[in-house]
Amino acid sequence: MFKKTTLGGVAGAFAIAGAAIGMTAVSAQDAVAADFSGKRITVIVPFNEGGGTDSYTRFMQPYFQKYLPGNPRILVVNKPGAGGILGGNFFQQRAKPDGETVFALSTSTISNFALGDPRVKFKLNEFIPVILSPRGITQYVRKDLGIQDEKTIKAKIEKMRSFTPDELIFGGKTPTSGGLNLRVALSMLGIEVKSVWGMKGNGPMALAFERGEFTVNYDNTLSFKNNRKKLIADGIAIPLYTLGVVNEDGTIVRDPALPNVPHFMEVYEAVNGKKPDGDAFEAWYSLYQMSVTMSKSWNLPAGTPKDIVEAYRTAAKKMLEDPDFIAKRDKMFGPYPQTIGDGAFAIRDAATTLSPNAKKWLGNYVQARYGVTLGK
Amino acid sequence: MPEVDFFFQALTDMFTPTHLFFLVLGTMLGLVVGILPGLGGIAGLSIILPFIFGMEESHALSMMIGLLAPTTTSDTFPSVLMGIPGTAGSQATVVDGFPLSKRGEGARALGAAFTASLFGGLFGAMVLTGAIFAARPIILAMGFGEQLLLIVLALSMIGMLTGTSALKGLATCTFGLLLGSIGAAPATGEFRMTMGSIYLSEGIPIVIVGLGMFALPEIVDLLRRGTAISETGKLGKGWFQGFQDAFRNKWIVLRCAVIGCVVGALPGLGGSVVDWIAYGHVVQTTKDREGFGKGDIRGVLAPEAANNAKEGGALIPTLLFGIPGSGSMAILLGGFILVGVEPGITMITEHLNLTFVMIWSLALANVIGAGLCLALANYVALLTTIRYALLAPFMIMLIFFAAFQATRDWQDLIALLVMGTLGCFMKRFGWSRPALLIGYFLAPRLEPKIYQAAQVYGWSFFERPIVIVLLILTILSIYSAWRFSPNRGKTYEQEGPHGFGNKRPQLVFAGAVVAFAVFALIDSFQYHPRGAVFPMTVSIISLALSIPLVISIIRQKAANAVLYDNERGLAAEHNEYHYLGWIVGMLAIVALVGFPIGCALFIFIFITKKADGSMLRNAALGIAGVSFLGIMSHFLTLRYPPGLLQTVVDMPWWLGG
Repeated sequence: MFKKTTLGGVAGAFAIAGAAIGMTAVSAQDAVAADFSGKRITVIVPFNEGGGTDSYTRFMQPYFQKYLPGNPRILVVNKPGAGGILGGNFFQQRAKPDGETVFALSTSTISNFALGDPRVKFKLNEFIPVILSPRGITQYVRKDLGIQDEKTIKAKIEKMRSFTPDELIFGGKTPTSGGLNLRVALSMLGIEVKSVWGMKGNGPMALAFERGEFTVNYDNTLSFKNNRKKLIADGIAIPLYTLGVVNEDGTIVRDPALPNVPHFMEVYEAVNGKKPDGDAFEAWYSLYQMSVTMSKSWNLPAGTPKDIVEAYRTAAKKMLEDPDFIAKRDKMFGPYPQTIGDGAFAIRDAATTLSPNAKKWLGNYVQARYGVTLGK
Repeated sequence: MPEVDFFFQALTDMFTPTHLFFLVLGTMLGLVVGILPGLGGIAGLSIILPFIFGMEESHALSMMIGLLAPTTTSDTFPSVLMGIPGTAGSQATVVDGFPLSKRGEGARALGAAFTASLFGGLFGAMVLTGAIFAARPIILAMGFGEQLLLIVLALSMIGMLTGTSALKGLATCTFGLLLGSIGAAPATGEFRMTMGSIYLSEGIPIVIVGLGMFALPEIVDLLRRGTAISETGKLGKGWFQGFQDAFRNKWIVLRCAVIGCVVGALPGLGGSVVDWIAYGHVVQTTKDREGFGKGDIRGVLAPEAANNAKEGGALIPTLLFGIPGSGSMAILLGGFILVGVEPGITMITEHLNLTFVMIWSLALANVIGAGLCLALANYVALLTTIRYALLAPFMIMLIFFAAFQATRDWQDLIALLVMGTLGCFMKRFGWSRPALLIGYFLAPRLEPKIYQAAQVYGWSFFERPIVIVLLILTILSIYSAWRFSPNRGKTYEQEGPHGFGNKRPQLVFAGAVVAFAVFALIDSFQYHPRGAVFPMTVSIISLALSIPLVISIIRQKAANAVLYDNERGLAAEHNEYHYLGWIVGMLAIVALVGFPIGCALFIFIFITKKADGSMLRNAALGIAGVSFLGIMSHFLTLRYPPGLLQTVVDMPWWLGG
């Protein structure tokens, strides 16, 4: 009996000590706003260590430590799972609007949200973007197809159309993962490919392309230029088109990282004599916003006070002007303009919403071709 | 010969003080994360990534390589001494290493393991030096078909790891394959067998399956025995004997180092099974197999030589193609980007100096790591002479903490409890845990490769020469598993665990395995054919193996290989439910007050109940254990699972807030 009481007593002591320390932490917290002195800021990366979003986040981490008021310690916490959904749900549920929790976002999480994955419990369209980083995408094919011998864009596409799907093998993760916009684009041009699913990422896909097992492939333009140097130098990879980037007045222009390669809209116009339109185009354009314009970003929870948001934006702007950052930015951010400020909201809305017609079109597309049903 | 110049220039660079400092710093960290169960190179590298930024390239690279290299050396400590794999790479080391510790030969096993590790690591570095120039065509020759057959060959190694009943072993393997296909289907993204759980949609994390299979069952078993780990209470002869063992078996060490390099370098397999492949290989190729699983030193040498050699091998595709061969290599690549090095062909054209710095770092880190481990072996082995009830609560806290790092979700803890319970009963009824683990690990690799090979090649893939060679090797491997099975024609005593007796407990367990296969089969009906065919086929095979097994168990009237219940002949005060109950109790406290406070309480209560001693000391032990975790979490920037209390009261992170 005595023993039990003591156990309870010790338990109580532990609890009281814990509670007391907790209280002091609370009162310290609401003292000042937009000053992060002595704080630990957590950036949630909903992917594994070493991935694209992780590297992006860790690249920016020291600059935000330097430029946020009070020089807080910034921790990167990886919470991988379900294409960013686990991390997103966690952020939605736990993050307080106090600027101490940031969510790093990438294409696959946005597309899971926009395509209506039933597991999504977060409201991405309410997050407040701090910095949006676009990244171009390049579609390329193997030299064995011989399109490099054709002179005009139109002739190249005609040549691509002349192949059977068994000759145009294009790998991917799953039907609704990142490569969907490239498949839709190819379909819009009348090019039919054979999709081979179950690939684990762009690295293994590029390797299969190099082995000649895939004849069609894509990469983000920066990694195409930096990581596929040998493929380009040996003339094995022939760029077909890039997806281009959106400029300030909202039109799609050539990818500044590969300015000599035409972009998809240009190619479509050259082949069809008019700009693309209709539900298919609308669906493609939404997917495009997700994967190019809002490729990577940092976000704060809904309802974060204005002064905190401004503190983050200022830090981001200072980062872009930091000479050290400027010297290193090329490999991570490329020549693409970064969006900081209210302009980010419009991009966020465009990337996170799919019009009912576009969604219906896309649902039919993946159902008819791949036998997969989209979420609601 | 500019290459040679670079080679020696890099060596000279290595011995500048700053370089050595970063290398040794990395090595030390690597040793620490390797020792901690469940944490490995991935955790270690993510600690140093924030500091890498802005460092000089070659310093950063030697620190990262220095960290990766010794994790598979120091992970041997918990594997051999506690029966808990320090990282996934040393699971096979447990099989023979831990029985050696129990026999009081822990220091010898460590000595042998570190010597083999050292050799493996140096061998890996040597191969990397040549391979960096020559391996490109070999890696490019490994298409989908070749990768598929490589996985099948690895799967055939299970033949050597089935335990006494081949039927049971193969049934376990299919069970593992089914467990591994829980979650998003690789080809369609459909969520299989998740029962609506978001957590399961990514499958059960590998770390958790590993800890559940090997760590928890060992802890429960040791607690029930109620002694120190070393049953003799002694240490036996020191590490020098192990050193000699390694030399006596130098050809095994060499062969396994080759296996480690090859498996690490070739795409498709992933490094985590390399230890099992090496272990299976050594059992296959030696004549006297009787001692394996009971403390044969060769069972320690093989996986340890292989898992260190693997790192050198895995660096080949990482450096040459920028394609990571393993999880830790993926973070290494992330680090490359932070310091501004793009892996790929430029590693031998523009950055040859850096490549050689990495190779020398790999070699030196292995020497430093193995040297330090050898020096510490005799002292650390003393842990095996401590009464286990004093160690157990700390080990439980550590492995649950490690499990939580898998996805940082409370369900990680539940998953470990479930997997650990499964592991306990598999251990009790003689279901091969390695077979389950290999099946589990290979399922998500096997399935997409089947589709990819079929879609790209059709039947023509059987015409590819490397495929044919691998196919012949697979057939040989299966044949030798059947022909040289250590259990062939063996008879069993009525007195042993294979005796005839109360069959109900094992029938219930075998019935549960059958039920799971039925569940998987029914579940598979609802998916697209590309998402359904794999679980459907495997569950039918699983039923074809496990139903006859159940019938066989029912019909046995005398001692037989299929009958196994470790409970027979084990005199223990408490059954396994008792200690599993303690663990459930710990989770309940943690759910209430959060991880740090909950664990401190758990350690205090457990030691007070199970080992006595002054309550003041036990409270101090509880606080000390949690403080250690706190310091570690601070440096590793890790988080704790929160409890109910944390949702009510705002607390600092080190109390679980």
